[in-house]
Amino acid sequence: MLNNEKELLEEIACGDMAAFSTLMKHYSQGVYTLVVRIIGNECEAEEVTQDIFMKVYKQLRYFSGRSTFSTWLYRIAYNAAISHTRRKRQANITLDERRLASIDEDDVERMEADTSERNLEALAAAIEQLEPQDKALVTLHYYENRPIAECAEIIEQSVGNTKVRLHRIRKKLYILITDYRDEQGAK
Amino acid sequence: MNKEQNNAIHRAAQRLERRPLPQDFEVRVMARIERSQRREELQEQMLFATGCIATVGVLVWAALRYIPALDFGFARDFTDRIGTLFTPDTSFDWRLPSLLKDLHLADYGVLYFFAVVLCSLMLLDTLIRQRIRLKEQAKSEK
Repeated sequence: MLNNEKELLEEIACGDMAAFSTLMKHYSQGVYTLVVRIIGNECEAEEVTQDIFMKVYKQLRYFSGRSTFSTWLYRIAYNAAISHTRRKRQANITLDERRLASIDEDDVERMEADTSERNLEALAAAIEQLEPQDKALVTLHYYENRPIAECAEIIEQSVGNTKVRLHRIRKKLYILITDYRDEQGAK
Repeated sequence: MNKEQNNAIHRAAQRLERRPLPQDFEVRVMARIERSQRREELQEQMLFATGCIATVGVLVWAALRYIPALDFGFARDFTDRIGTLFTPDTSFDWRLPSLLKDLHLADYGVLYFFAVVLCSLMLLDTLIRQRIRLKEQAKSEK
């Protein structure tokens, strides 16, 4: 968060474009990172990020301050990027529910504790294969280090629901890295 | 950093490539905002101009129709003819040539009619020119 964020927001509300530019410089890279993770294509992600900041500028007067500005901005970014992927109907890997349910908790914990180079490489590849919503949650929670409560606010879900989703993501990652290792072994 | 955020998933996520935004990103957004504001201003002006033309048109018509000194007949005929369009038992001929004839547009009305058309075309022309200019500006800024 910027130190003088509140003042900047007031100045923007008075039509100060320089204040908006300062705010954008601070947040644009983070927003772009989230959007590019969800969308996957850099050019499209840049367009969507531009649209997000246009929307933020126009809708800033509706920002009530109930959440932090950062949470509000990331919620707009998340919704815009997810809407974009829905329009594009990107093909994602969907995993069998029965397979997800059959995963042993201990195996997932072992995977999380294994910080070997091989495991980290496989995990990074697996994260790239997740569905857009899951990739967004991984980016917010594990990359941006945002607490679960804030992630929940951004994706407009309850804290409990977000925890369940993160739990499912861990299981999905376990399945994906198991498959990745099988493929590497077969080669 | 808590235990969960130091695990393998966290480390793997941190490894994902951070793709940088183009350096002129902020400049492009600011240019888009300015263009959008100008477009909104233009739309407001167009709306205002259209409203002015329509108001003046109605006032001129009302003056011609209801101020006896200005009543040259055509405005009254025009209104009466319009009135007949909404009469259920009218035997009005809807074919364009006879419609124009029946509306007495061939008299003074035709001048009035073309004045309104001319104003509308000028308005449209201004709008199109402005849009082309904004598009060209957007292209050059890209």
